[in-house]
Amino acid sequence: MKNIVKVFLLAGFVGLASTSFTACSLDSVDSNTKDNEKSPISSEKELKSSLNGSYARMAAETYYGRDIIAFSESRSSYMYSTDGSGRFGSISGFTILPTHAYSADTWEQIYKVISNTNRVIEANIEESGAVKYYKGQAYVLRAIAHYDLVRLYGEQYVGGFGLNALGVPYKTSFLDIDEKVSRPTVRENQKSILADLEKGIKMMTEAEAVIGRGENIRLTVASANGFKSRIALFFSKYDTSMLDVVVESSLKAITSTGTTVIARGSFVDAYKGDGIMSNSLFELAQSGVDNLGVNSLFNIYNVKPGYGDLVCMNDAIVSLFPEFEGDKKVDDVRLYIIGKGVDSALRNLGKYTVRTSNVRVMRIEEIMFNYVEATLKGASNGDNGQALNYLNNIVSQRVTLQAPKDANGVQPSALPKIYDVLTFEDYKKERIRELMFEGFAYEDIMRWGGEVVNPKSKVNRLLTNGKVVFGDKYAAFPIPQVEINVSKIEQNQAYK
Amino acid sequence: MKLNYKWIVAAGIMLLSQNISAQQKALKGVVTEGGVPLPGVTVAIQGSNEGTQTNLDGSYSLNVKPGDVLVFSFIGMKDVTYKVGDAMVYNPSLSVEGSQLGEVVVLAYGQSKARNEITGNVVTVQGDVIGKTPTVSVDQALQGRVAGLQMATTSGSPGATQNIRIRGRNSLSANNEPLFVVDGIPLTSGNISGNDVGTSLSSISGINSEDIETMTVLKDAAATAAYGARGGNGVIVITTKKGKRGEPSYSLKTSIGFQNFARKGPKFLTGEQKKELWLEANFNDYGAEDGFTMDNAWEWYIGPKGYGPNNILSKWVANGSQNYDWRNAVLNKDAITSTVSLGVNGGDEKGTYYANFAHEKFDGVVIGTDFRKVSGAFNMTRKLNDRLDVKIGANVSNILQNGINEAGAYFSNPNLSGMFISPWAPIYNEDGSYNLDIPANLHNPLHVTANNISRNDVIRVMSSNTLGYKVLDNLRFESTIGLDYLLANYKVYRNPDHGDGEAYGGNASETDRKRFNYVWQNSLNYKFYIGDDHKFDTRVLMEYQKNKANNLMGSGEVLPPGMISVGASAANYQASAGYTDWANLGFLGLLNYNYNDRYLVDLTLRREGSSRFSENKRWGTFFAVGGAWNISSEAFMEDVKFINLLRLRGSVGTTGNSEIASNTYAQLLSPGSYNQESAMISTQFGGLLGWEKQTKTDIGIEFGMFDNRLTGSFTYFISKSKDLLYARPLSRTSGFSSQWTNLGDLKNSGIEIELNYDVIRSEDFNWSIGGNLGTVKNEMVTMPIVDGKPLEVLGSFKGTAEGKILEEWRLKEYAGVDPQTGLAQWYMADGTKTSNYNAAETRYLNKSALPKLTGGITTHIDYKGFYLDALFSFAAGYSVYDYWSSYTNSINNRSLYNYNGTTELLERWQKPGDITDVPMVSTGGGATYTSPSTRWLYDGDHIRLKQITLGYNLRPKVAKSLGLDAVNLSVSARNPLTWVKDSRLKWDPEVDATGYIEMATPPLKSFVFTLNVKF
Repeated sequence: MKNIVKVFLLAGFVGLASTSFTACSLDSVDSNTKDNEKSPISSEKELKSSLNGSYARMAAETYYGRDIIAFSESRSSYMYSTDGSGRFGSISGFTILPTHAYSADTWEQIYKVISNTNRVIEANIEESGAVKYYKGQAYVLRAIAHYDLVRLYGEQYVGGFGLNALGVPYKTSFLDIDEKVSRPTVRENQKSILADLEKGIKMMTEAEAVIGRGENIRLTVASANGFKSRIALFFSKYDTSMLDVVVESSLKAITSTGTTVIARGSFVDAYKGDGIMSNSLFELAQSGVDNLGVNSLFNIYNVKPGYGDLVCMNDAIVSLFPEFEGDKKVDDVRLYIIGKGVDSALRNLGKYTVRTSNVRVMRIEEIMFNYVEATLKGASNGDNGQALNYLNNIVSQRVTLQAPKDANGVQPSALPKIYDVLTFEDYKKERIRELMFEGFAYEDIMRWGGEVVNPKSKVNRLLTNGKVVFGDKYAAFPIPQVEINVSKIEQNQAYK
Repeated sequence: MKLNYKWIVAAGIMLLSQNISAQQKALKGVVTEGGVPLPGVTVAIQGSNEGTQTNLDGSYSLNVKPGDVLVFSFIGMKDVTYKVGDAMVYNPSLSVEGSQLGEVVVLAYGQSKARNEITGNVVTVQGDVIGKTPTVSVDQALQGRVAGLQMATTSGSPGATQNIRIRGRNSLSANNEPLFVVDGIPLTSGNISGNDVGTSLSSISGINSEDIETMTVLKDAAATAAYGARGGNGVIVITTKKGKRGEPSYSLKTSIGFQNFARKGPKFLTGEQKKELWLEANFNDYGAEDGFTMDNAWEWYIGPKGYGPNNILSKWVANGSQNYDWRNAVLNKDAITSTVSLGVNGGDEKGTYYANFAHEKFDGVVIGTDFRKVSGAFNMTRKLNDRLDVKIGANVSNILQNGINEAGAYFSNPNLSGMFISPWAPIYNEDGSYNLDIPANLHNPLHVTANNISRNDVIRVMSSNTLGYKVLDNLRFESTIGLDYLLANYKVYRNPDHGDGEAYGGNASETDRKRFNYVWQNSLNYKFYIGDDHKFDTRVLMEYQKNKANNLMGSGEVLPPGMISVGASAANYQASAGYTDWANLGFLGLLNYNYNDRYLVDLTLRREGSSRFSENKRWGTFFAVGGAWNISSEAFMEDVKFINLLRLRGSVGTTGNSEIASNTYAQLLSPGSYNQESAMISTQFGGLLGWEKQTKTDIGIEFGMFDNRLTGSFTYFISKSKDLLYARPLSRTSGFSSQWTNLGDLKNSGIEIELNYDVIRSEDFNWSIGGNLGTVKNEMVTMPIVDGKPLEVLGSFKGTAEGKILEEWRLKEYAGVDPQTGLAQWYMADGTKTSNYNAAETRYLNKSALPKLTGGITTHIDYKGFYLDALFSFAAGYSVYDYWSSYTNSINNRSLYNYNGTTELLERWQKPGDITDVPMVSTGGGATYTSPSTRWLYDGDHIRLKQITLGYNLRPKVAKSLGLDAVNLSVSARNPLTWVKDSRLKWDPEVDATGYIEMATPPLKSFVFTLNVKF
């Protein structure tokens, strides 16, 4: 009997213990995450924080933090990658394969920006000025991200297909992760991108009227219009109706930004700081504790410290910056950006001088150049005088010309250079000199129908004559194999 | 088994003869322990006061009458009882209490059973075997000794984790490592290092091999079902030593040894060879354009059209072309290992005690690595009264591990820099200081390892405590609480002068990982008989386990010269912290039924909930049914004298797997920062997630013949996994790379054979030979249908599809070099060759990274006090991939100029007609040669002399005369010899379970001298 009591006591104890544990929640805690299904975006602050997530992802090294700029620069007319640390050599040599990280990582990162941005756009939240501003930015971000995908992976450069070539999947949903994707044409991409831009700019314009303009580390109406100008210029190669859009958006950007061309005296120093430059329209913020370290642009341009894979080609620099113009000695402040590294190779030492430099995505000079190019290409709303003005605004702040000593042995003072006539050749040179190392080179070459040739391309036996000209199948990146393995979308011609 | 039969016969004879010859007789015999006569053994007739003791030579003589039951007892030994029959001589052998000598096997939740009472598939490795294995992690002793257990080395650095696969891979993306259970406490497995960049640290590295009594590998459903939910990958039960009744017994063990790489690996180019290839590359590219030949290539090279006199090669030649062997420079040859441990144990009828203290030091074979461990193990058992008893156990250790960044291609990884740094770059400057101007931005590993710190300092306390209460004679309640606290401090310092810290003015970080894991088990065990023949043993149990992990990290930059702590940093402070937890709750019922020791049935039912799954999918139910038929116990086997044991056993049941990260099912936002403002980023999509389940079937036959000279077993198993936990790849356009889900069916099947034969058995000379073999055939049975077709998951190197092996190698097939053009070629779908890599066909290769066959051969010879043990392990039917070939075998500037390449490059194509596998060299281009293809896939098949030990046991008399109980001297070698089938493979064939040859330290070979004294 006593034993039975004990048995019951024990059974009761075990039973109680068990139930007390059963009552314990089996929910896991993770201090550093939040469940988006249980608590979706419900306030303006959460919306802003989520939008910040998109900017943070844009600033990653696989996107604007380094790669998309380095991809362009390593296929430029003046720079290539020596592959010294195994970085970007396959870009300069056009040996990139669908299995390579460069193809896969940037693709993935851009779509991650898009996905996170779609979450912002889809947020079910009461509309206010700020909400409209953030959602407007999200639409513009989505357009920029898809444009960046098209310029890398779209086949518009290949075989004269232009807008009829294969573009990239245009994603507008956060939740539908199993959406059946395919590659629409570049024309369809263009349509979607412009639609998002217009929608976003409209919302932002309405919002700015109410709550005022934000900082340049996020999109503003000015930089949104700037992107529209940049993107329209890209498409104008295949659709001349875009030229008018370039002119119109450039003007909107220039007039609404309120900034001006940076002065000659400040040009070199402006790049040394890591804050927002005065002539900027849009920068991606970096800081001492939030930067890309060894994966920064600084580290790829500089050597010791730095990987320093990207170097300038001597001949190209010499021909880009002639010492004399006629008999006048040229002093171009933009040449000061270039110097010899400790390995005595010519390098970009002046832009991205520290790993904490903000990523300078857009500045007023580019937008002015966009206006000039569209006008030169025949935009119906372009004004030749204004275009010449813009060009001279910039050049006069960069270049001085000094005539030789006159007959009396007197050295005339150096004078700012001024163009009297607008020619496409002059424009191209000035644009290259101004924007070098900032990620415009390859797209400019392709838009102008040029070619890429460098020591890496020369030894690539798969290329014709060791170079890639506009129209070449290697002008487009491969669609990543990891993408094709899942969604079975079509590969670009060079990689089939 | 034979014993039971004898009992029955003896009982029968006794009954018959009782009335006829109820007379006294003198029974004689010798009592031995392990073949050595045992003096002072008490021999008593049960239920009387009569008895005697064995004399000095272990012999006894006692007047008995048939039917008397004799009890032979000796302190610290297990009692042996003997029912007197007709025999005039009885020679019992006593065995040490607690040491089960292979006869008793420890199973789940402390059940220990005799071999013939088991229905599951288990293999036990004894503590003395483990103690003789000179490695840091005790799990390494299992390799080659357990059929169906495959082990892969992630790194040869001391203390690094091992990959263990029991019967292949049962899961796709969830953890495939077995569950470790130490004294009843399920351990959290894996890497306990403070970071993921450096050398890993195994979660069981804190346990000293001397403290282990047995390691039991549970393989099938019947054996693992008690751990059901988490036993899907098999279970390894570790039992630590307890004290033995008797006077205090001390043991001292010291060993010293040295170690090196087991295989040297490929040779790298010398400076001259590299120069020759680089000049040829330039000639191939620029010879025609610039008008030079190979003969005057050097003039061109140092000239204005070439690279000029300041080029690294030009300078190297100008300085005398001295060859710098970096691969040699990063080695710490003949790295010293030393261990010392001192233990004591003893006890009386009230309880026992065991204490052991150990210090181990292992120098790494690569500069910058070493491992030091101080550990103490304490176990105490105590009877409080007739009904209550307690067991208290603790294992406390401190590990100090200096690691290197070997988990990837880090510039500061000496394994990497030894291969990558150009032989043109001096190691030291002329003044004897380190050369810090290393080409291609690499770091001088000598400087970096001398001046930087990556150090794990891990304190761990594992304690297992049990309170037992005998409610009735046959009803026992047990409550066990297991506490496991881990405090891992990880310190990083990178000097400001050279290497990773240079850009930051030096940087430092400190990480504290705290992990507390507790388990509470309550069980009731009830044993009863129905009639004489029906024996039941039942058990119900509840178990709750909770794991809490906290980490805190601080880092800073810019350090004052000579200061190395994060506390001294001047700028850019950053901190991070995190907390995660998980919990498990399980209920278990066990029923063992035994009919007359002939028929056995085991039933297990477990219900378990895990916090790692979606709310309504948390609970899973698992069961197992096991049965055995001891044929040799049957009456009809009486006359078959040569068979000592014959039994059939089998089981079927389900197990599970929940080894995934917490909250994998949830749609998560992670924190980020932008412009010093908060940011939220969607990082995980989540989705419904529940248990992965395996259905395991296992049938086997076990036998012992010719007085148990030949023993062995054959087993066939089949394991089907369904609802696999799988990180399903998504279209990257979704913004996510994968989504965890339950999908697909996977099947593993195979046979396992274990055989042991005592070739010679005698007093002075014994020789036995044994072997085991396990095969695994892996097949992805079904994949979910997507767009009307079964899903095929493809990677750059591997693919998973229906009917294929899980993660089967899937590559383009290399077709050699085109003799005309010198370009690499691959096969296209139609069988023709192409130099266009993209156009070549990607093919499944019917092999994966896991061997289809593994096994081991052991032999033991002893003569007088000398003995020799050898273990060969082998693996076949798998392939390994040279992941870094695009750096070490590139035919362009990467290997020929920036870094260094292997001597295989000397075989390059030079002129039309050359037949070779290495294409023409060039300054750029040719990158596709090292793109994924079968060119870099090697057969891993190998046989390895895993361990050989030669030892001597001092004769007991001599030992006694020295005042000692036993003295043992031995010398062992681990991995001294390796044979690899694929002659192209220069790397070590044992790589981690992914099959990629990585930049980690390869397996080691070691030679160790050991002295073992008991007093």
